[in-house]
Amino acid sequence: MITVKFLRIDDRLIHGQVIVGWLPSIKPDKLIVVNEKVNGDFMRQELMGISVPPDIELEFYSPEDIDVESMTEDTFILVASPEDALSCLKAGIKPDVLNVGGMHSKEGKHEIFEALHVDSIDKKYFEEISGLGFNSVFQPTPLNAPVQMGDIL
Amino acid sequence: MIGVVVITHGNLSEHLVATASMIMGDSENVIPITFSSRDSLEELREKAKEAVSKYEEEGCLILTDLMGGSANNISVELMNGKNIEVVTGVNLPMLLEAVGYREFADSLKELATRVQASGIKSIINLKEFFEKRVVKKT
Repeated sequence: MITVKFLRIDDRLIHGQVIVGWLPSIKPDKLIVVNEKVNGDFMRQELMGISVPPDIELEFYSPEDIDVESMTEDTFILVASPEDALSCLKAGIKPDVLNVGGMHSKEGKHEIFEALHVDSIDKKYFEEISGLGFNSVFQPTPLNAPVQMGDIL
Repeated sequence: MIGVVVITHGNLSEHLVATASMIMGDSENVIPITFSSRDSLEELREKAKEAVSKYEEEGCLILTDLMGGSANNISVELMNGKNIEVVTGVNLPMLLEAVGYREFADSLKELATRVQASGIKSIINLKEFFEKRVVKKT
């Protein structure tokens, strides 16, 4: 079991809200992207590398192969879906905050907020996450008021 | 003519393009693309693809607002292997340079270099600038 500062679910992964909003607020020493596609995409990794401030170390893992040993308590983890968030928790990661940032509109998903769309599969994963004792909180940027996922799902 | 596509968060691109026309007059082949927090990346990708597809022959300069932002991430995907250049950090002087210089540019690459330089040159701390000039004179 390893405690980390922040785990965020955001289907855009590294983008404006993360770079301008969350990184300066959380001040992690390490940013870890757990995503199957990005793990195999050198170009996206390079692009993420120049987007993130140079004092933050950046690492990539596939959800099936997370190296918990490399994490510190000041680590910020980014995943694109509740499914991948669950893989992190099952790998023994214990985030102080489980943040839900953006799950965007897709066919078959129901809109809760403009940046939050879920279907029954997402709900099942969130239930499993809360079954493990973790509270998920919807908050796209540090300036938005946090909303408990349990209250809106 | 080289196309100029401006892709930003919110409606910034529309306002930048409208403001540029106010200064330089209306010009063709300048396309603003907007996106909100509701839009999915797929929608943004489709809008951007459609805009740049008009300039496959002559080339397209994409200007984006924020390095690492979604507009930028999408643009980099489009750039791959195509006649497209992407410059981040768009401001009004850059857009004016892009629109004003593209007819004279030898290549898309040269235009991108000019536009980048004009953006950097346009940012000046004026108090510091005048303080330095006073020091030099005395």
